[in-house]
Amino acid sequence: MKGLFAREASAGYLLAGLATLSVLLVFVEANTRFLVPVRSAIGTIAQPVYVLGNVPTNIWEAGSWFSDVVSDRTGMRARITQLEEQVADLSAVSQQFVAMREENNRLRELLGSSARVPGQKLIAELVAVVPDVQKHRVVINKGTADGVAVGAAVIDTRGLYGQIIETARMTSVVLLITDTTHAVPAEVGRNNIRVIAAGLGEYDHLELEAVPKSADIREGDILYSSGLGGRFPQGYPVGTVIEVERLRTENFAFVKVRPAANLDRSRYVLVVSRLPVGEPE
Amino acid sequence: MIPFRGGWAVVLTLLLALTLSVTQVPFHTPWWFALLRPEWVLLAVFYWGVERPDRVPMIFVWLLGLVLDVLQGGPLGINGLCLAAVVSVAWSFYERIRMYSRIQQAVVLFFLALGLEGVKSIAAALVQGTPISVTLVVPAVITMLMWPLVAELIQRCTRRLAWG
Repeated sequence: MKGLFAREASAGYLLAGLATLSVLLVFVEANTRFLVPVRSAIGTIAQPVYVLGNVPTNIWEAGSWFSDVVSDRTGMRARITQLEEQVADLSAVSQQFVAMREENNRLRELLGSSARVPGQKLIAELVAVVPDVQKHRVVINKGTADGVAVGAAVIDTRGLYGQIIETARMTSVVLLITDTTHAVPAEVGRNNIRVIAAGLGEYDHLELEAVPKSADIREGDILYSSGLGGRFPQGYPVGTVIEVERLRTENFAFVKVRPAANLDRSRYVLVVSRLPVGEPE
Repeated sequence: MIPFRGGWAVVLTLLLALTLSVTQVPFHTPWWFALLRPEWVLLAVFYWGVERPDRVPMIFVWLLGLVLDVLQGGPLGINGLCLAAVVSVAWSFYERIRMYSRIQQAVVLFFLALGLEGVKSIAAALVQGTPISVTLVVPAVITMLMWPLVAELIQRCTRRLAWG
């Protein structure tokens, strides 16, 4: 115990030193980008912790996988039929889509604007949810090793999901569109009115910022990403307008939007990497 | 100091606490479910800081705090600062705190946890613009309620250890 008492005397100095260092770290991180590689390195070291933390969910999933394996023949058949129908439906749509994209590019050529090249897509799985109710962030299992970069857009099967804000070697952190610090430039599908959909920290709705009361926005309108911020690709569904309120006492209309993506359900997401600078968009 | 006899129990407990603090809650749970997560690392650091102050180096705990910051997505350094402060409280008052009943210790821990949550919220508000919410009291209360259970559990599991 001798060592302890010797240390106790210097504990105050140690704490003061570490506290100064901490405050310095916070300050440096808030104002510069020097600490980005440090955070990324710590994230890479801490990767096994995510894996361990994921074990209970994986066991749960394995349970449902087991029930899949032992499910009865009729159930399986019904499910296969259902999936086949879905594939047929989707391939019909996608055939049309290819033709339409060609046509669209031809029309754009006629107009003198460059063709739109789709970005690369990467399927990723959620490995953790950042354990803080105030922050809508999740961790996915693709990182710099797979070519994920900060700023890439993330979508799920239904619409815009979020964007990459931090990368480590094998994982990256996604900021969801519903986070209080997030806003996405969007447009109304019906009439191309430009709006900004800001997160409120609630999974089930977004709010449109600074919408004039005279703007033609109705309940049921679908919003798409406008691609104006240069961060999100254009044309992914952001959400549906579920409430429009024009109060006489307020300067702007209050518009509530339900996000298209399954923000609190999706387990698989797509990372849409941005095009390299210089290539046409 | 840590790698010597019995020190691995401290390391193991802290790693377990780190893992528990990022364990995924099942999908389809209501949003407030995530609020019910106690500050596991604080619980572990407080236990060992009081029980074995000679085996809990402050710098190690500070580094652990950095890892926790990355895992929780907060500003780098905040958890380190708070946990180092907890270690220093433990170093200064461990004899007194050991004499307390579990309930009294839980009350001490409540204030430490409240301080931690407060500092974290203020830092996040200043740096990342996340609004401060009164819900920060909930994890502090949960941490307090978990204390008797966690302390008894660690004590029972490590009673037979040779500390040398």
